[in-house]
This record gives sequence, structure tokens and C-alpha cells, in this order.
Amino acid sequence: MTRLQQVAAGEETAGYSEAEAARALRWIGDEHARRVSDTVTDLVSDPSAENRRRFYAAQNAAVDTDYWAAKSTPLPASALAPGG
Amino acid sequence: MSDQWAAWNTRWNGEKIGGSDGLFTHAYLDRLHLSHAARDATAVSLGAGRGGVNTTRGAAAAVDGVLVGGGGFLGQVAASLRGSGFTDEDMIQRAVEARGYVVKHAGDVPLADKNLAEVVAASNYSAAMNTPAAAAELERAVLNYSLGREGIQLRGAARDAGRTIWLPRAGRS
Repeated sequence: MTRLQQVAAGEETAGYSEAEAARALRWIGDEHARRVSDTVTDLVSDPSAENRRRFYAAQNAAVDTDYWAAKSTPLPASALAPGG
Repeated sequence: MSDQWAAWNTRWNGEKIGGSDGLFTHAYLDRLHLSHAARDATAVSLGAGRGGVNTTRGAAAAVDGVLVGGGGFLGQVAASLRGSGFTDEDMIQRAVEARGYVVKHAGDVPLADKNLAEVVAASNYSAAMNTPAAAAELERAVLNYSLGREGIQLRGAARDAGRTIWLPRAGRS
């Protein structure tokens, strides 16, 4: 993903173009949002433990990607607050 | 001119204290504007099939309507919901509390995507409170997060609601 970002920003070259790299990054973000949206719809219509687990898995994957893309350390603002 | 505005246009709202186009008149027009923003957002949630006045989804949508569509602030939300037809005081308070938590704590979530930070704050609140208002606020936050992405394919109630108001408001078609 870091390499994709570098290619999209024009900092590196690869076997794919800047536009293709930008499109791949956008798809990753869209896919996270789609999965979070799908799982929350399931969770609200049926708040079972399995649907709750699926929602948190989708949310945490999106959060991990956000941290990764921003190159930041995933520390919660409060040690008492649950991690994202 | 609405019946509500006609009712407000009383002598004590006359020229001696602000004039017919003065300070007080504008203050009441602001309130009318926010109530209409809440009412319109509630109507959209009704269009999604599971919302409307005096429902938790309708309340979450109305709160969003006042804050985002109407440009109001959190202290104005409860009165605006009452003005738009909500009569369940407990439901109003729960909706305001849920959004208040998200507004307050989303900034503490260190994410680049602020819409995703709202989802995390709303899901933390939902896990802690486990109330219908918290679930409705989580749904709203996820809808906002999804609409913040280009090319996202929504489904169900979120898609219907997004098509009717949130997408045009975000400048998309």
C-alpha cells in the first residue's frame, strides 16, 4: 500500500500508471466503506453476536488501513477508551 | 408564511422591541428554519421506510438535519425537534445525547478520515449504551462515512436515504 501511495503521488514508478495506482487506492477505501455499511445494516436488522463481530471486523479493517495510509501509530487518545 | 410564524407575529414581537424586520423577527425565523431542517430530514428517514416523526431513526436524521442541513448547533437541536413535531421528550434527549457524544469524541479518535472517526465514536457509544438511539446514531455515522467515498454502492434504507437528500446536499447526483 505504501508503494501504491508513492506511485500515485508520482514519487516512484512501477508497472502501472499513477492513475491506476490512485484508482486502486480509491477502490480500497470504497471497499472498506461498503463492508462497514453492509455489516451495520445487518447488525441493526439483527443485533446478534455474529453480526456484531462482523461489523467490528469491518470497522477495524478500515481503521487499520487508515492508520497504515497515514503512517501513524494506532494509539487511542485515552488508555481507557477501546481501540479503534 | 406558515401558521407557526403567524402565531409568533404578536404585538410583543412588534416595532418597539426589534421591529417587524428587526432582531427578534430574525431570531424567530432562524428557529423556524431549524425546525424545517429537522422536519425535512425526518421526512427523508420516513422515505427510507423505517423512520419518521417520533422514531429513533427519524430523530437521528432530524438531529443531522439541524446540525448539517440547518447549520445549527447542538444546543438548538432539542427545541428544533420539538418544533418539527417530535413529542417524545425521552427520544429527543437520547438522540441529542448520542450525537453529542459522537461530536465530542470523534475528534479524539486519531484517524485521517474524520467520517470514519465518527463511526468509531458512534460504535463505542452504541456498545456502551446499547440503546435504539445509539444504534440509529451509528447507522447515521456509517451512512455519512459511506457517502464520503466516491463510487460507493449503498443498499437498503441507507441507499434510499442517501439518494433523496444526503447525496444532493453533498454536491453529488
